[in-house]
Amino acid sequence: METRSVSERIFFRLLLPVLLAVVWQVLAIYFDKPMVLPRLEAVGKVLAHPNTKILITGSLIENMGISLGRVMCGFFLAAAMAIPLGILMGYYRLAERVLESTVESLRPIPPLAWVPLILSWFGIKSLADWFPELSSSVIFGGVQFSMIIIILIGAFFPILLNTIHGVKGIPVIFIESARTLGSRGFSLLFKVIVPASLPTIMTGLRIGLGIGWMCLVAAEMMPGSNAGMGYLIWYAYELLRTEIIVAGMIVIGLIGFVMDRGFRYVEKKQFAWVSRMK
Amino acid sequence: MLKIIDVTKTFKKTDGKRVLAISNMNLQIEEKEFVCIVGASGCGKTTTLRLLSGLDIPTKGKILVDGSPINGPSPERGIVFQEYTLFPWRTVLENVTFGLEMKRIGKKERRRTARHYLELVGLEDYAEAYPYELSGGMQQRVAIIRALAANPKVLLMDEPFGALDARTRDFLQNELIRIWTSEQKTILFVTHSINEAIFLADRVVVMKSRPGRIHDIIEIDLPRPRYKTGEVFKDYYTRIHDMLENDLDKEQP
Repeated sequence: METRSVSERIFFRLLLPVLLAVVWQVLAIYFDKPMVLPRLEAVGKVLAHPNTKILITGSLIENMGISLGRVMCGFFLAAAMAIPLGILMGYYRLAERVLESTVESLRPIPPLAWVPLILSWFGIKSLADWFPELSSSVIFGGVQFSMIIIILIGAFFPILLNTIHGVKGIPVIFIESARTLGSRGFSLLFKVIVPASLPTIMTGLRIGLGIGWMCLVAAEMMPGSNAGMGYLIWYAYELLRTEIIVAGMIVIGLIGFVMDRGFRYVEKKQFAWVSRMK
Repeated sequence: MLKIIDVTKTFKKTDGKRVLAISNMNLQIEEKEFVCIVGASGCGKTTTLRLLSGLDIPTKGKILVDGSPINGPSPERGIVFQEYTLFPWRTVLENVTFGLEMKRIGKKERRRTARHYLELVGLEDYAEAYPYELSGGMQQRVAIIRALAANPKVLLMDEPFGALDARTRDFLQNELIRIWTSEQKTILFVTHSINEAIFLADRVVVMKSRPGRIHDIIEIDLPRPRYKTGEVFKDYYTRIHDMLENDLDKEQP
């Protein structure tokens, strides 16, 4: 049924969101309680002025920047740990035997369940406490250590599991062919094992980033937080500024969506060979 | 020169039982010789090839290449499998240059060598294509020149044309003879097709199963180019076919 025209396809894509918006607006006007159900134009006004200072938490853009900075720190740390570990566990049986039970028993713990313990260990120390030169940076100045760890935990396991899966899924015959062509050690690792498992690792990174983002927003609602998208909507709740909550939620969703699409785009572009393999 | 001396290979199955894959094998392959191994499935012909490549190690006995024992896989002994083994994340050209990269040969020379081999098999227009864009027969041609580009002394081939249709197969058999003549390599070629073996080989090694062992070695005294329809060709066929027939009978008690 891909014979539909472009405008028709756009119509079907937008049908439900537009319908929901209309219903929302009608209900908002009907109940007329902006603290419970803000009107769309109020939400739109917040979104339309991303550089205006909201409440005392800074502008929408600033809070986005802070949240993105945090999620990137945690995400890159998670990738830097999970990918090498995953390759090790996927390639060497012994490494898998030694590590698997530990990994499998830590994995079911929701990242947010780590929060109390991590707060009690690291308190609300931020990167700026270690690297004073960062304290003037809008994005990295507010990166709290405990938040990074929570994102790290959230992003770590999907990346790890996908890496293991990717390495284990490499057909033995690729590795044997490479060996008979004189490849071993590092060249085997970087010229065969990594490129062969890269598509699966990319999927892990995409899922990991998505989960990291969700964990971050939740972590920013925890005590000690003083900026970021999660903090913003929580603070807006305390002041009953529901239009800011909704605007914040929309931004959080959009950022998650854009990150996911970005990864999918790279996957499709760089790894065309995957879908064509029989 | 390849020498297989008193080689025995046993495998451990998943249930712990040991299987004798090859028993007491002796074989000598001369330089630039084209030898085919035929036999029913399970006769140890693939195992023989894997032992020669260095991917597997003999349980007993030894394998010598020019007098020295094999120590793991080496680009000296290139291998072509039945399965499509081109690296899907690399272009055709990058596949062919892989072995040269491993030898740390400069990029310019790598590409020049690869282009030479692509021309040899008529695939120079596909240098920048990815393996999935090629037909099965093209992929196997690239797999052959990928092994050749690393300049091996010996080319080991494990039913490389087994998954191809009959016409492509005929075509590639002729190609292979042409390559073998121009490149002057020693080739050990495993197949279950008697016709293919007689068409290609200087000598045909007939193997039998349970345990895997050499039953007979037949010299093919036919001038090249060979034709699969000649009387002498058919005589060879009947002879080898009868040997293998008995082996099949034993398989089904």
